Amino acid sequence: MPPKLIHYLRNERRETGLTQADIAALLGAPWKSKVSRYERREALPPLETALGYEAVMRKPVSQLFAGMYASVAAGVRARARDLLARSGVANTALRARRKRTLERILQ
Amino acid sequence: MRSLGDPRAILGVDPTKRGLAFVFFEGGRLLDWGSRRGGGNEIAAFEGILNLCPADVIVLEDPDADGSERRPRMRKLLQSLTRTAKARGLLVTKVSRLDVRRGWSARGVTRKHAVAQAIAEDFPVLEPLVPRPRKSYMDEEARVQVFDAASLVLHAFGAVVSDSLAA
Repeated sequence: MPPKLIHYLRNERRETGLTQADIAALLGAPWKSKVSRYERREALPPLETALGYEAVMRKPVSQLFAGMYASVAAGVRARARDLLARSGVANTALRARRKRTLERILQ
Repeated sequence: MRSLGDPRAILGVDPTKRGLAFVFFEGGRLLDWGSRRGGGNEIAAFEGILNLCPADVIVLEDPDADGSERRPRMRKLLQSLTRTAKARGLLVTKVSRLDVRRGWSARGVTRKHAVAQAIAEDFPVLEPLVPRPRKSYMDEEARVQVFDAASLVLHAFGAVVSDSLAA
């Protein structure tokens, strides 16, 4: 069953026992309101903050943002399928490697 | 740590005099919980919860079930919540409060404090919310309502199973 939430920051924070103020302090944010806005999904954290979450929670960004990752990955797979369909014969080593990469994305 | 047997996204909502208490499960895991003040517009609060917790199934108390002690305002509110959820195409499961009480009684749990403790044993993330035992002169603490919402979901979707069994 695909994840329903775009991210699980609130749940992960609660499981760690950290407060929003702790997260703000760890991420170097001046106020916890920013953390609150991320958790309520009113705003998406920038890449630097997302990586900060990974360092705090010790979980990969793709797991913390499972819903968003699933949707992005589905888009990538659909485009990989198109690319593969439009590809010609893999008659060189480079083209063969490219084809294998696209097939791996589809798996 | 335990989890719910049903992997769907399930939202349990329990209206209170202060607003709406809710718990949200996904993949059997308890992911979110809390309460929202209605401020006279509980439907807006409910929609806010639905936006925050995109559920497939909503669990509500059945105000028309035998033994329901809900007053007319709450009955109307529960009916409005049902209509709102159905208008969004969500599956609504109604649970009789009396059945929930009977279910806990069968486990030897009769008081709200004990129910909260039993739920927190299954879901330790809720431990900080377990209220102090209530004295007759004390008003019920608002956080108890989260356990009422959790009770509805646990009753509707059967026994919880341990993660080691579910894996």
